[in-house]
Amino acid sequence: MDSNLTPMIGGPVCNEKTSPGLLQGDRQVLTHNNKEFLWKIFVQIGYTWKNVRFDSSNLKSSWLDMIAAKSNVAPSYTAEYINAAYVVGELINMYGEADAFYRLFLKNGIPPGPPLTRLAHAKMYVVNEFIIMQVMASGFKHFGGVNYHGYVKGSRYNLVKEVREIEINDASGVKTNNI
Amino acid sequence: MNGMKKVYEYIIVGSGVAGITIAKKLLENNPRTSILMLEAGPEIPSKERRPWWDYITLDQTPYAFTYDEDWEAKSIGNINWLSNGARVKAVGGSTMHWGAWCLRFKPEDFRLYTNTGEGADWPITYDDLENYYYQAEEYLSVCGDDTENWSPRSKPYPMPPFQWTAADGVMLMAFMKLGIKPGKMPMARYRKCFTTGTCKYCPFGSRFSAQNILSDLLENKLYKNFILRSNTPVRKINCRSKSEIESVECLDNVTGAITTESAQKFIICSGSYETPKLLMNSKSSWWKNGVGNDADLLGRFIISHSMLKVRGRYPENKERWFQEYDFPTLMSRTYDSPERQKIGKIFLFKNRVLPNVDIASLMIAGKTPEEIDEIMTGPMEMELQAFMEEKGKFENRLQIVEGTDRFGLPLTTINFNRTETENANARENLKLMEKVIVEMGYEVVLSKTEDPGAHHTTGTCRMGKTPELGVTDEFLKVHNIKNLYLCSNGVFPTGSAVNPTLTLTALSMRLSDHLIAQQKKIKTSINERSRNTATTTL
Amino acid sequence: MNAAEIQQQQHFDEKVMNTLSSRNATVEEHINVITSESIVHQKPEDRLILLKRTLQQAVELEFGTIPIYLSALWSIKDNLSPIAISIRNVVQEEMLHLALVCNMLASIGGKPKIYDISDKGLRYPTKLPGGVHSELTLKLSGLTDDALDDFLEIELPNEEITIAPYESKFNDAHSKNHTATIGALYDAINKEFQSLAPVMTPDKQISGPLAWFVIDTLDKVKSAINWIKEQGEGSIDNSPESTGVDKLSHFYRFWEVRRRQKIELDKTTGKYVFNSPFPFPEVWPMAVVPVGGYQKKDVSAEVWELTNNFDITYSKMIYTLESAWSEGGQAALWKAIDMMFDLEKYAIPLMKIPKPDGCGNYGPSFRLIRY
Repeated sequence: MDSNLTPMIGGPVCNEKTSPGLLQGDRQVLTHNNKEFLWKIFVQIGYTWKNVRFDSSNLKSSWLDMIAAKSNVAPSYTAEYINAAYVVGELINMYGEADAFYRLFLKNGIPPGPPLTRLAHAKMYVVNEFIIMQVMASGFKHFGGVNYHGYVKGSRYNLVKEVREIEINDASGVKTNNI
Repeated sequence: MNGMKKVYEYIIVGSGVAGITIAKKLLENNPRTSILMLEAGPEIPSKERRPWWDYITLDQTPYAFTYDEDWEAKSIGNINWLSNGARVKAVGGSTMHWGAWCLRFKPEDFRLYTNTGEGADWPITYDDLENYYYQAEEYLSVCGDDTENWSPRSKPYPMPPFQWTAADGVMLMAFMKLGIKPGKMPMARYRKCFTTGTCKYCPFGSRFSAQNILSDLLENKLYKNFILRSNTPVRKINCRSKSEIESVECLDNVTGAITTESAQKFIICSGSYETPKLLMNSKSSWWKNGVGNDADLLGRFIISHSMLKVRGRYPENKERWFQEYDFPTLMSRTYDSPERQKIGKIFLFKNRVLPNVDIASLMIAGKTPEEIDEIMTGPMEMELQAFMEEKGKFENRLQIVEGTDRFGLPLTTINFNRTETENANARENLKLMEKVIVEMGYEVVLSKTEDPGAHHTTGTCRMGKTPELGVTDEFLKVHNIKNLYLCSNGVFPTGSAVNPTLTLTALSMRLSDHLIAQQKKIKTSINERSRNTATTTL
Repeated sequence: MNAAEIQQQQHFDEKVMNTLSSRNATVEEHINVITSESIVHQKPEDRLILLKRTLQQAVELEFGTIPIYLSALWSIKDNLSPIAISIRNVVQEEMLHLALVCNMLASIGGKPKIYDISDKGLRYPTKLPGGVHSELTLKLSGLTDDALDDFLEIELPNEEITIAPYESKFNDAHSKNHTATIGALYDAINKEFQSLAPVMTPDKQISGPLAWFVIDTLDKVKSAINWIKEQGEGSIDNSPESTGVDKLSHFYRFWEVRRRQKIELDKTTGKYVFNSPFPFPEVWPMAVVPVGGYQKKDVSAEVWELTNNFDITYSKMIYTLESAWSEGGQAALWKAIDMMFDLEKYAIPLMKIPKPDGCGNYGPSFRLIRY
């Protein structure tokens, strides 16, 4: 994605200038509706990269844990989450749902550097962090692999192996992990 | 009774693995032992959700602000000595962020001077420590392979090792072809390790952290006389005479109050920087150069481990390997041998991070699923790393300078220099490592000796048989002072090629046993004297 | 409807009301009501309440056996022995079943109740909740043949056991016709989900290594229940022929220990048989914990300290675990798992202390208390 050539997407809300630091929101409350809308953004990540099944429902409890931790503990992300809802709302109005998320994730035209617009804030503080969380909470599996930084796979005493383990054939062809 | 100051049985300065292990052993022996533990840094809670999520999403840790800033610990030698990121100045010390690789030193590490004419000998042998190594492995819950026998052991590891990963395979085969014996990295992990890969801030406390042990000690209602004071740097040691310590002077960072605290015995467990610094900073008419420093050994012989790195590139990654554990599994101590002591032993391990593809970053950059797939199966890199043993030299030293850091501790300079021979030896070791990368069929793209990181600093208040050879005796008691003990990596006369914490833990346990035995001796002697007095009276 | 049909419907309506209003309805009663053809004439909101109650019974059943397995597991000195590994896997599977059933309950707006300090709460020794396997009494003890007999009874498969004659001390009970089995309960739950098709939400559910998936569609209900049954609760077919020796169901794993023989494939006959020796492990001789658990006045200060601390940690853990499906969320699950490992530091020292009467050693009482 060459953001130098792609113009920045969105309308007046997306393009409104802001300072780059975290938007102030320490006493603001994240409502149920806010959370439902944010969940919609999260689920779209799985649709775009086709890397999570069942509409990401298996990831919701961990996602809720992250949202709670990020919004209830200072410095709070609540204002960023609400900002993202307005930004995405404008994008959906302008481009329709499918195209809005495609553009936001893959062709947003945000210039590199610190986030200086509402769109850039939404991308950096919300979308990017949602992507990191999605990949680590099981989205990585689609690309191969059994474990990932942050993924709670389970203990070594489970039946299921916790990483891709080596398979070595000794002279008799038996797979062994010992030399 | 009014105006009589409290005299603790022990004052322990520092709340890292050494201080906490000693406190735990003393309290288990006698729950009523009165111990005052003083820690310069703050308390940073573990296992909290927001710090964990910030670690995942922003790669931030809640203790990183305690790392040395450049102005707090300056490097002034011909080699750039890296203090930043090496030590955590908080309750629990550096076990808040350690990787928990737990390897024993080898017998020859205790005889470096005898074997090479360089460095120093320990006043104890490996055999003196072997039983304590085992106790430390149980305590830290070390998972290792009993068949490997890099160091002689009388009992098996408490837990089985973490197995090699699929991505280790290529390097493992190369090791075998070159006659390098592969091993499984011994890691301290409790059974509840859920292989989350966020070891630096484990949400379950599955990697030993002194802070969690400390919480247990503080919560135990039987340990009524155990007190922790955080945010309380100790600035000076006060002597009653040349051979006895009377008190320590501490500053409460929060209130600004300066107090003196007294004890029968003082144990300084403040790491390899602050332990010698505290003594150096405590000048008096008895000790003009700092407590215990007539021979000018404090801060001297500073060494750590430099990391050698050889990276190779391969044109494709068909298996789509990426990082799954947050610790290495493949290692070898073939070149960590008596024969290599002269040139410099190296402890080999595969870089735990490579090969890796940061899938989330690719998605953040707007790559499509097809583009990501192409990158994942495209060129990949693997890296062989090694810790190289350094030998302490008198002129390489740590010193204090005027001023204090953010925690009320004196500022530090480190003057570390390497000779041309040592640089040449490092290059020879790199050539050995390059052979592995080439044997793997990879193209060497990087081969270098990194600047030494201060994580494994040793030597700064070393043990020695006599006051001319060391600051402390074999039981870590400062020579010629009856009630001052030092227990940190700084007491090691040599650094070996492996991580120091297991050895430090073993030394802490040995010191604890020694202190307990001394207490019993005193008690027995008092009882005998009272019996004799009673008999005489009768 | 004709008069007879009306009367039948009224009779059924009464039965539903009784079950709904009763606090002690048995599993059999729940199964009978929700699998009856007449259930479809009940109001959907009443059906939903009934389904939630039935799921709560499944929660209690899954939870009830975990402490007895944990006592047996902790009594094994070498926790890496094959038998310990086997029992630990059973515990993990039971916890997985518990989590899945709690997820099912949460999916329809229910709140699973596990932390119950009232008189209705779990106290050992106990019958299985809901009248299931009424011949059994669950006792907290170390691993013994008696305990294994109980485990075998709990895990008794529905299909015919062909590998060897199975002689059980509960043979008399087998001759009676059981409708209230754990398998039948799950079948009933599945049937009612499919029939009622309630609104399901992922919101209060949890996932992770001990709760493999979130259950928010009818297909997932069916998969979860099939999967639970396959692992050991009144199965489809969990004979060694079906599962293979690597994935033996709980029943066959326990039977190996009881008989002191491993199940292996006889290559000449192609049949699974008991063969190689499987020695009984070294265990701490934990005695059966008496009714009401060990009381402060009856034990030494050391024992009381350990047993009380165990109960406090256990209660905190269960309270925290329960909250994962309400206000605690995923974070509560992680906390509960952390606490679970803390239990051993009280349980195992207890098991090392002999009782003064010479009849075995102490062990944890698994009391849920206010803390």
